[in-house]
Amino acid sequence: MEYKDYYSVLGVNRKASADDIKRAYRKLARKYHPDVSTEKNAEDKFKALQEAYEVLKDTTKREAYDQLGSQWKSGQDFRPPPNWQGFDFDGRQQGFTGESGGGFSDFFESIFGSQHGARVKQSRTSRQRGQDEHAKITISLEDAFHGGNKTIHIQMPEMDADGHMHNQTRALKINIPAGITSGHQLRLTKQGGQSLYGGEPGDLYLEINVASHSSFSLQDRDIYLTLPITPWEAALGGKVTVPTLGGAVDVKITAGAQTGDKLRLKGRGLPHKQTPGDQYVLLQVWTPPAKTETDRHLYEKMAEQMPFNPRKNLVKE
Amino acid sequence: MTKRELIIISVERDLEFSLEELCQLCEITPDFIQELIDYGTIEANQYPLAALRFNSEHVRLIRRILHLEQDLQVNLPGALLAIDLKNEIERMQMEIDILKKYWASAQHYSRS
Repeated sequence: MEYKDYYSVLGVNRKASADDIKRAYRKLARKYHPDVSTEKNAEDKFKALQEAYEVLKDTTKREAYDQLGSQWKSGQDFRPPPNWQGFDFDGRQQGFTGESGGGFSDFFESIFGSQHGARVKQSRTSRQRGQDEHAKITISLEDAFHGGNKTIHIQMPEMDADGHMHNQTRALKINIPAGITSGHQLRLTKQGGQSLYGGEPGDLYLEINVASHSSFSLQDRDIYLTLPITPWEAALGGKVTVPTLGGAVDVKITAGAQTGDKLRLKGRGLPHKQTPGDQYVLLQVWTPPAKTETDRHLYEKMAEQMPFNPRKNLVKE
Repeated sequence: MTKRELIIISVERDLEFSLEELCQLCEITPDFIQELIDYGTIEANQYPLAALRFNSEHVRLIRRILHLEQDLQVNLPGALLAIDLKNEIERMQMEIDILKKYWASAQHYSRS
């Protein structure tokens, strides 16, 4: 497994005081909290922060961690030293609300022993059923549009025969409904946490996140696409082929079109029972370069015969 | 870490929860929902609380609030403010994405 440099995760040096560590954690937690962060990979970073803080804020854990030595580098292949007594910490953390399932890393577990549930909730009722679990998955825009079967891999905390919690990777084949958008929850009944009392397992809730696309933009259920066209297609109109998530469509450009015009392809956005989204095509006129004498003459003739001042109303009083 | 292959048959999409189901799922009390109504975050029609129906969005909202309260020690109005701002940022980011791609398309031409 990989060594984790908790000090560098928090951006402090090994001699940092408890206050330094607390301050560093609070600042970074604010920045990377997945429910409000605008940073990429906020969730992974936040999980790493939580784990680092969990170790470094506690003097006993920090001492144990320091004992491993300072010669290790993050990501380096690591094995606990022989005769390492796994510290069996009682797994009560304050609010580790890591998403995408799973508790702490294998590295953490190898040093500190298995946690009895990385996230211990104070249940108000004694449930016979297992815990409901939550995880987040990212799907492509194409998957969101078409829906269909998909195999996903998520990490979940599961109890093994010894009663210890471990991270397990589960492969699940799910059916994604067509037209699903970010934030939506899918419920997989009985795929959540096992029951400790011989009851039914809880449910697994998957939150969908739709990844950004290289060409299409998504806003609510509408798709946006920038479409380059020629000056003659714009001025004279014409038929062009436009890609959509559901396949290419022929679109008629009306004569007199300009850069910035927005064409609405009704119903070509994300599907939905009552009101599917639309696709908006944003026109962008590209002028061909004047490469030859003939080209230049054509342009000069146009300038001569079509007086045109696009800057007439540039700066309004 | 071991792998286990499972075929899932049931994936429920248009989830609907009663007040009781929502409270059990999110581990909150009806008082908490009442607070969210009082803050104007959840719209409650004329019905009594117990007759309200909740969906995916409510689950997501409540979990976000609880995470912020637990992880960043934010109080409820603070959490609601943070979430409103984040939603606004996301909306703006979608608009920016459209504009960025528009601009990138123009630049792509000018460079080729």
